[in-house]
Amino acid sequence: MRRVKNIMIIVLVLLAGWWVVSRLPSFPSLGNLFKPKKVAIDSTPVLLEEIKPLAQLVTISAYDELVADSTVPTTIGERLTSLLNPFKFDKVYTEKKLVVIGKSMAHVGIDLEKMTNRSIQVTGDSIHIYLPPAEVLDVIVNPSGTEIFLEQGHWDPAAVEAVKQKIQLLAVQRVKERGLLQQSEAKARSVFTQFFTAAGFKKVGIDFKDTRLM
Amino acid sequence: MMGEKSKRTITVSSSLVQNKRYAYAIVWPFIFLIMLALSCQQKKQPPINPVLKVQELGQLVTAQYTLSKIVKASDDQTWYKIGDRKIIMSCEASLKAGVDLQRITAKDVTVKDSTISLQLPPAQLFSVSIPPDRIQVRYSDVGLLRDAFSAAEREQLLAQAEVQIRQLADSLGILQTAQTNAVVFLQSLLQQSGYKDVEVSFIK
Repeated sequence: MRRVKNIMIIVLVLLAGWWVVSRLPSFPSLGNLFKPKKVAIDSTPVLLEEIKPLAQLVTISAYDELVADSTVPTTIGERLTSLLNPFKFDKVYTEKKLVVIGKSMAHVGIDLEKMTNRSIQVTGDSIHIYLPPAEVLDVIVNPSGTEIFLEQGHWDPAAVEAVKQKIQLLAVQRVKERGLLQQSEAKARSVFTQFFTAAGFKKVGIDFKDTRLM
Repeated sequence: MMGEKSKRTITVSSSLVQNKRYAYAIVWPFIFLIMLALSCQQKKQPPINPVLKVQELGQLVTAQYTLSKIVKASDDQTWYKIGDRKIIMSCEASLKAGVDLQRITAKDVTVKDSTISLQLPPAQLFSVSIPPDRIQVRYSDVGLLRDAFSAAEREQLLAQAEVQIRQLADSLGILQTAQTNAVVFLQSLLQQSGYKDVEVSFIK
């Protein structure tokens, strides 16, 4: 009985000691000792390539989380490499899989650069504006919003790019399915009406038509 | 008789004490382990953002800057990994800035005959985008005993580059360009609407 009690006490003391030590900030824990160091990029300058004037009215921003994947059969060379390399203990896969979760931000609105001289018609205190139809102006899928959920086998950057482009296409499709183009036009109508009413016009009419085709 | 009874009582009570000791010896480590498990419990994950969150805006985007950046990293800091890995990637980022038209109210507009004065809110950076088709691996060197940079690792490095670009954005002068372009655009729009003189200023 005494032996059991002594063992219990030793176990308890060891556990308590480990608990106290793991909570000390300066004491490296065993887990941290074998934790791989984060790879940090060097601070490099940026080069300004282009400055472009734009005239876009963004009226809807749609945030989405989408999943895209790709499966490719592995080549015989890849299978042999992972099988015969004595330094790597990879499984031998018959196919490679990549599953990416992407946070996308779609900007929907009006490209005002498509307006022409015929887009604005003024009669006394009334104004009629023909705005180009709403479109998806931009779909942003940034590295900070990209999660590689599953990566089986080695994937080159071009293949990853293709999967991320799938996410961008899915985001555009979702915007159209949810009727956000119509919602964007309604919002543009409201913004322009408010702006021109403030500018002194009593009556503001807005239609969506590409005046370049008129 | 009495003596026997008291002997039995003592034996019973001593066996009770022994059982109690056994119970303590078993129960206490369990309590300790439960407390330990509770203390090691991870914090609750923040709730995931609802999918397809739609926000209505009135942003007039007037300037786009395209930047290029070299992303350079060496993986040689982990003591137990034999061999180094080096990678150089290049990426392009697109920054968009402009003014928020929704913040203009009637008191920001003054009309006098054919002259209109407009006070706009200051320009803002609206978006930073690193398009996937503008990312390239320029050079990669992997030691014999190391694995090549995975897609996840490359994304992590690019995410760091994205942070550096965001931090630099203000110093590039994009807001000033956005304000200048906004003035040009609104002057043209209001002149087409019949105003001869258009004065545009910015709220400080």
